[in-house]
Amino acid sequence: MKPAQFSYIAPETVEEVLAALAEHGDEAKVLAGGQSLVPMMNFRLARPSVIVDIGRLAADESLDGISVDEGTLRIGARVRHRQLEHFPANGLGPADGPLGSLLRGLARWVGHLPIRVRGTFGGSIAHADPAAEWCIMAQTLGAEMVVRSSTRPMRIVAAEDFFETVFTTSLEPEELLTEVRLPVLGPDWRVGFCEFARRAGDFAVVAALTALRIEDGSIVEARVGAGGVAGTPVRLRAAEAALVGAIPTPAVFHEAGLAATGEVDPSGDIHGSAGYRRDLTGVMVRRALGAESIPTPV
Amino acid sequence: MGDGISGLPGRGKGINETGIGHPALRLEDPPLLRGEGSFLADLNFPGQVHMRVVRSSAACGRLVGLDLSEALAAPGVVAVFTGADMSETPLIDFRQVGYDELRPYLQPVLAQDSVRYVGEPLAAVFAVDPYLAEDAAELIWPEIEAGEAVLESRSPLAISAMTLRADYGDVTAAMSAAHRVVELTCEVGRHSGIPLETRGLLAKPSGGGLEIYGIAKVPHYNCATLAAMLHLPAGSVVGREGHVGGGFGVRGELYPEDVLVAWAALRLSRPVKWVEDRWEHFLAANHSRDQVYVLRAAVDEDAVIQAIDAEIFHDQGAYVRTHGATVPSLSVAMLPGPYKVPSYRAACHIRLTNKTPAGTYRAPGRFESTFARERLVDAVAVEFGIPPAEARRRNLIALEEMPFDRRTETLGTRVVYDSGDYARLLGRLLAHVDYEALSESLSQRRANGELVGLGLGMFVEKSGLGPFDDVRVTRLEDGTVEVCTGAASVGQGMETVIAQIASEVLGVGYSSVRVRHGQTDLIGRGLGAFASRVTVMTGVAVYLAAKRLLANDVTGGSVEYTFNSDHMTYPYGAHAAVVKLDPGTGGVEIERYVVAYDVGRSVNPMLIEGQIVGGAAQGIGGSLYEEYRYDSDGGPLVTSFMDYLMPTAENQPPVEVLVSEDAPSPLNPLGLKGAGEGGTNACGAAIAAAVDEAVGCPGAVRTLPLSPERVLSLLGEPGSAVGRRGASRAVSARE
Repeated sequence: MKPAQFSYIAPETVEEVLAALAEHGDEAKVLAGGQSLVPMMNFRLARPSVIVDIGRLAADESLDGISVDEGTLRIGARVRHRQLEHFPANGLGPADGPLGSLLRGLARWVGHLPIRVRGTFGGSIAHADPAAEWCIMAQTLGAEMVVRSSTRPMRIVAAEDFFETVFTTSLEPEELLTEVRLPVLGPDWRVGFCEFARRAGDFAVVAALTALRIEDGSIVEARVGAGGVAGTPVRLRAAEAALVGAIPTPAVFHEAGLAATGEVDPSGDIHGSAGYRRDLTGVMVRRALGAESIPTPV
Repeated sequence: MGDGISGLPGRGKGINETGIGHPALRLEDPPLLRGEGSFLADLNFPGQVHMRVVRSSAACGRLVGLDLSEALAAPGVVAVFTGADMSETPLIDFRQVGYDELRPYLQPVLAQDSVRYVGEPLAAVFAVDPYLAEDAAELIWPEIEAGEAVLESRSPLAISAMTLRADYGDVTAAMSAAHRVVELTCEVGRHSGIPLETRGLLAKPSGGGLEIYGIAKVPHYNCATLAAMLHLPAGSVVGREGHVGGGFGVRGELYPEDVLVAWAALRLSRPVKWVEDRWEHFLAANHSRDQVYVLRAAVDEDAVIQAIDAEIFHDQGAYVRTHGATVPSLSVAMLPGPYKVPSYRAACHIRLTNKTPAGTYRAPGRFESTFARERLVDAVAVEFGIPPAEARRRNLIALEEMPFDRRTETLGTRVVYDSGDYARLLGRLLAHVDYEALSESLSQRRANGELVGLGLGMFVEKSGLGPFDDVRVTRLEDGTVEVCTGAASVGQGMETVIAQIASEVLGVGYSSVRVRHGQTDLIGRGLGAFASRVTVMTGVAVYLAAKRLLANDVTGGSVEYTFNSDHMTYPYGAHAAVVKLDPGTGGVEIERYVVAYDVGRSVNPMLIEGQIVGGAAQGIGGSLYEEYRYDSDGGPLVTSFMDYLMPTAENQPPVEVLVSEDAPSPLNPLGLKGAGEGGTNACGAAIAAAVDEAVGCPGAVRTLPLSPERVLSLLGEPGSAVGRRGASRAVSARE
């Protein structure tokens, strides 16, 4: 459990980071909070020959800030989980609302306190664990990833094009994820989340995130997503279809849960067989839909 | 009967605030809390090299070749050794409960021409730092012709090494005369002790012999065995125990890696250091549990068990290690537990498979056999329509029957329960939880749709294994006292307990008593720390030595004393668990956990409570979370803490501890019994029974651990509370 040999560079500017990534290509790995990368290196499951540490960059609004701009929330890639957990209740001003609650509530589900203190939001997104809370949120709400490199213009990648499979994204080796953009959810949105893990702080066996826009007592827009059921977090379109146009009642949520169970095709591991995860997906979706607020773990 | 021990020496003086019976703070703690502990990984010697073991990635096969050339050429590499270098080194022998039948299955230090489990040591790389050693080890690609792995102890392909038996009374007659015969098959999964500090050893050549650091649990035995294996004069291998971060049966046994370190230090004439990493620990340190019980009970019309007939399958893994047949022996000898069981017959088949070899883990053979026996008693309760507590009352050995000859044997001793008032302890537990009211409230909650249940488990423990313990107690010129013992500390608080006992007799504060242990050159022999033996054996030896010192009345005097004992002492206990199940996920929440335990006499109630709470955490882990699993080729699926689920502080319920002193041991002058394993023993039994009741399907639980998926499948069965409500098979419909 000692990492294989690597060299370490700690650039002082984003441009130097991009230059280093361009130079070393897929030999390089970006180190942010190190909460996934470092254990993987110790197990020698990851063996980058160059570590580009972005922890030494000077504070930078685009990397470190949380801000709202015309209906879009921007979260810098280097924002730590703990900052989101403790983001002030009106931190986004009028835009805070359901999205603010979701961010604060989900952050509490990320690992344990020491992990949340060190680990970063962008690091979690770029690591692309299919059961990670932030990845589920990005997929479900249709996040956009802001990606920079020294070799081509900045590009914006939709979540559905970003997550490819387990631990794999469409980021090119020379690219750096700098920011994630989320649509602000107005007061007519109602968000919910439910996660089952064997122990508090573990990655979810299955987790579901739901967001419903309700007008005149009816669901007019629905976003339902889940993690732990495929190589990436997934949108559950059949569950969404079961909700849109309906009045939000336990019976409707039950139907949406059944639809979710029917549309996922998970594989099993030692924490749960495929069938167990499939059944669990329906339960998580139904409970997320019925949740009054974002629950706290344990 | 708490006053029953008022006549014992030392009791009731009330003048010594650090003597027996006081919750004195641990003497061990100050250096640990200040970060001044000295664990193996903290030690370094000039010129040392680091060892990295190359391990088999195949569960079974023929070792055809090991190409060392790249590794030998790698930076920093001093040497690489393989089985060929060590073909003259003997197999690692039994430390206890050895049988000739098991001898063919002892493990070589390095594999010779075959491999039997993933993780088996094939070669060892020695380099100037641990990073380079690991780099070089990766350059060795063992060539193995894979065979077919055997992963089930009941498979006809599993090697049947031997069968251990117990037999008393007339089981056949009892079965034919029985009012009912209750049958049960159940199994306990594979899990083990996970000390915070992994294994490790540092051997330093010294004057023709070796100094050994990182040694734990049984320093004298390990040093003597290493000397014999390496053809060194007796006494030339000196063990220097430092701080040890947990033992639990696992850490401190003599493993292949330990022999490698010592052998290489001699061969290379320089200090050799090895610190196991967690991945290695999961693959290579002793596994445990993994037993299947097939039980039949002959029960009379009063629900009294007249006979038990048991067939046990013990998955020993790939080799037999230092513990020999310890676990099977304890399983067989202690299965009948606190019940009369007039006739008993047991056969435990020791089977070899292609998993990591197995050894003892806290409450070895008892966590498993208690689970099985208590499942059986619960089944009897169901069969006769009586409450579980009543089924137990009708079968418990009575106070008047003490001492009770169990008529089984284990660890070289006859099992004779020395003392105990089992019914009284059960009564104490039931009163504490207000059994009737609790049962009623749970029943009410079940009627309201909650999946809640209460379970009980009772057991007899064993402790104080002899046959001897030597101590030297010296009163120094400055008025302080030095106790020298061959026992060991694995973090359990033995320094404090021993100092309290010396303090009680000699009238000095316990912090004026220095307890020296685990140093093999300070005292001629010693048995170390295992089997909950230290407080009893070392404690009594110190007590008697101190009495003699007091009688001699010499300042600066010193007394050496040997306490001999041919019999173990038998503490006993009862657990109660209240659980709540999540009908959607199968998750088990322990709402309440109670352990009642009789230790005969409590030297330090705070430490006993700590032992019980910590032990319960491990028992809960084995009941709900921890399990070593394998793929069909014998590849381990559990190699990190992401897969091996230790219960965390967030999963651990508060444990209510009821320590009693009803039954001091008549076998020693202090009445002591050990307290190390009672918190673990009946966790599986109590939790299984509670889940049964919550599921609403008596006897449903047959397998540990109770993963959420397993619980959910129980809830899917037609007889369950959920099934009876007529809910559809789809999980979404439950709730």
